[in-house]
Amino acid sequence: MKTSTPLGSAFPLPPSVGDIGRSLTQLCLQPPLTIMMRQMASHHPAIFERMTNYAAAVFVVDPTDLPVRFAMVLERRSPSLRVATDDDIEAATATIQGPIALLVDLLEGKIDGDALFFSRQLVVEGDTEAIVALRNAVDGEEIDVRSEIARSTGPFAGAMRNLIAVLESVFARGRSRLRTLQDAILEPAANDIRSQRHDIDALRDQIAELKRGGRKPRSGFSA
Amino acid sequence: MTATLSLGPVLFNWQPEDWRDFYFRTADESPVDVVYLGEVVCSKREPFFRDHIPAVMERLRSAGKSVVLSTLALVMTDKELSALKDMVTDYDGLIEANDLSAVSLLAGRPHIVGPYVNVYNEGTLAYLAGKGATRMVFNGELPATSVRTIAKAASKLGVETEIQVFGRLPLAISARCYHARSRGLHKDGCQFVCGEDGDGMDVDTLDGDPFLAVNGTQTLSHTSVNLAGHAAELTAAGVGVLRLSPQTCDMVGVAAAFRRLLDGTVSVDETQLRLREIAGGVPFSDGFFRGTVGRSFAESAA
Amino acid sequence: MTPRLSLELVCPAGTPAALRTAVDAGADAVYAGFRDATNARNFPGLNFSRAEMREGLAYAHAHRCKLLIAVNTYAEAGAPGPWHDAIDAAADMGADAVILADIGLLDYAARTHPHLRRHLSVQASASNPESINFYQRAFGVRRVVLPRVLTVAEIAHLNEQIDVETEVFAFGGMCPMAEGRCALSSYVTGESPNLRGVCSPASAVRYEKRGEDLVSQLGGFTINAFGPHESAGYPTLCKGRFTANDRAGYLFEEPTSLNVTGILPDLRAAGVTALKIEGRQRGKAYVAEVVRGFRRALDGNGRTGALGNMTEGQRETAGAYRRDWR
Repeated sequence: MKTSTPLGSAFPLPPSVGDIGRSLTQLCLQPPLTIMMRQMASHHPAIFERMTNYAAAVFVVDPTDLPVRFAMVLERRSPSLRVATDDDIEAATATIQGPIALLVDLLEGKIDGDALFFSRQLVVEGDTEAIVALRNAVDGEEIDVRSEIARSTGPFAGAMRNLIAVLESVFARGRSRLRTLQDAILEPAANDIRSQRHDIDALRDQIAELKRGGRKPRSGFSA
Repeated sequence: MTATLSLGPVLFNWQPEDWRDFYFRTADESPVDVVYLGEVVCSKREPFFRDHIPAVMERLRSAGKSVVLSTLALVMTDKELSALKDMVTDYDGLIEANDLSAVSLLAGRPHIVGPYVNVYNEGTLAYLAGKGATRMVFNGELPATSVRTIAKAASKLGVETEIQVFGRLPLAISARCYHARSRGLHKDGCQFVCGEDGDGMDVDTLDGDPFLAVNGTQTLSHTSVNLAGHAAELTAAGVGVLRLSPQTCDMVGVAAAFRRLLDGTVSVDETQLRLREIAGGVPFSDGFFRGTVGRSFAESAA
Repeated sequence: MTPRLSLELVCPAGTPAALRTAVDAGADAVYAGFRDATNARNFPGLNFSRAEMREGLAYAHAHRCKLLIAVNTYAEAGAPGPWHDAIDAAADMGADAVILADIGLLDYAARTHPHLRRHLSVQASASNPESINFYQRAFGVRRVVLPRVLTVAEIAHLNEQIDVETEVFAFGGMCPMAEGRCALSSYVTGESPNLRGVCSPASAVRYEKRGEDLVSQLGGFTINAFGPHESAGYPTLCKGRFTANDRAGYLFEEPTSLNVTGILPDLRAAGVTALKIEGRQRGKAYVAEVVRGFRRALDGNGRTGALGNMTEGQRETAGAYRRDWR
């Protein structure tokens, strides 16, 4: 559970004006995100070729230690990377969740996605096939996020590098505040959900028990 | 519909006397034309019923049945291989080869290629026909499109084709015994626990859904294949032999139901009703044949 | 046969980047497949176009590494075209060998490209000398990849009775079933390893959070549930937890990974020619680490390093190579 509203002291917004905060975040992040995706498309066309069957898929990338989620569409002609809107999250084909450092390492092929998954540091939900395709397509390329950024040219290049640096420090500072906020607002709700899940699990067990009981003890071929 | 019925080999570890009596009853009462017998799953079981084989064969032959010896599906040890060699040398009747080693030993003489040998296309069939295969039993996961294509090629090569139309479907074979493993035992000291489950051991999901059946080193479907609804299509495609795989239910009744269906004396619907009655609570499947999820069953075929 | 002094290290590549990684990390041979149903790792986003394969071959050869092309599914009845094309392409581009399982395709390759080296895929599940000698006599097979069902002692004994090279699995995922003779995946998902080159395909997999547990489902059936701190495994059917005799557990196989580094001298003494690392579907980080580790171990420069975190369920086994596995 997370909110995309607060960005720490750089954007001292009260939590009640979430929409404004969100659009500000979007406003600041969109140019570098667009540039990153454009570079990806020009330097690594093979990714898009491998993703042909998933061109319409919306991937929500959710760095668990950042207050934003990203939505990504790998359509060859108009690829997009943006701060995820509620609509994106609703429509997500698949969601990939993990600490940002691991997600970047994964993008760069420095760590093995399966190993991360086995160790439970990476959580995936939704269309598993699309996620596997994405992982394979990205892993088939040699990507270096920092040098990709450094390579960027054009009017936004300098701004992009600066912004990334600023955001990195902002995120670092904002993280502890965010956690306090989350604890206060979300914990009661989470407790509620947990107890509901408990009830559902209990019901599920009962159903399983009934199914078992309803069948013949052996394999049932006897008439 | 012109097709003959066969009874596949008993796959489970039945008590030797039950095994013998099952075949005696088949000889006396069942309208099947071809009967397969022999240990297909685990070489450790064969000694139990070995002594009954001559009497069973005699009884079946006297009843006019064509008898076929089936080989082991997975041959690994020296002992298993030499037993296979002995069978090929000592028995001059028809043998169903269920491993490539058996195909190799039978090359040059008429034999049957069993369902455990991978024949997925007409190229493989043509090669095996050249080695003496006179009948080929379809792999259980083949879709109707492949069955039709291969059956057509087979008739040109003078090879008969056969397909399982009833009984739990073999899905996998292993070196490891899952029956033993489920009791914390190893295959070497298995205590023959597979003998306790005449139709295989139920394997359920964690949610309690019936899923698979384990028969020693073999894994079968929980569902029973039922291709009664496709019998007309099969015979039209030139599949000449329909196989019933033995379960503990009334197999004479199953054979009679299929025989009447093939003879055109009862409808598909009536046949399905009868099969449901006989099979008890076991659900049916025909998904592989329809080219989809194997465990599924087209209700329209029921 | 006399024991060989060195073991050839055969490494997986699902992408061109993984191929370069494997070559750089010290592979003696790399195996790869085309991007279609002709190979047994027909996973989304994986494998090689014809052009990529040609480039990969050039890269491998430039570094004195071989490239083996897997065409190891079974050709579809009435439509063998893609399989024949794949074999033709492998021959045309000068691949060092094709890895085949289908008798029809072995026959085709032997007749059409007699000089193209043929390896028998593990998917053919040839587990005894009679079968292996048959494939050699009939199709001139030069190497057999042994099914993961034999013990080291059985492999040694087998090697005394055959005249082809043997390649054995050294690291990675384990099939507890005889390979190429398993329809569990298609029974539940409709997608067959033999016909489509996929086992427990991602399209049929769903992960669901149930309370604190992570539940994996295949084709609508729950095949496992992992507690919050439990290592997860592949959502492969045979590595799932099921209930039998009122006991829930890993009936077929634990989510564990094969690792033979502990028995390398035994395999060498058993007359094995080559070691195969499983994992064309794994990332290049896995390829780099595992290949480097095995290179070190084979060159006698110490242990393989920490391969443990690359393993499924983060556990290792010597698998069927030890008799008590059965």
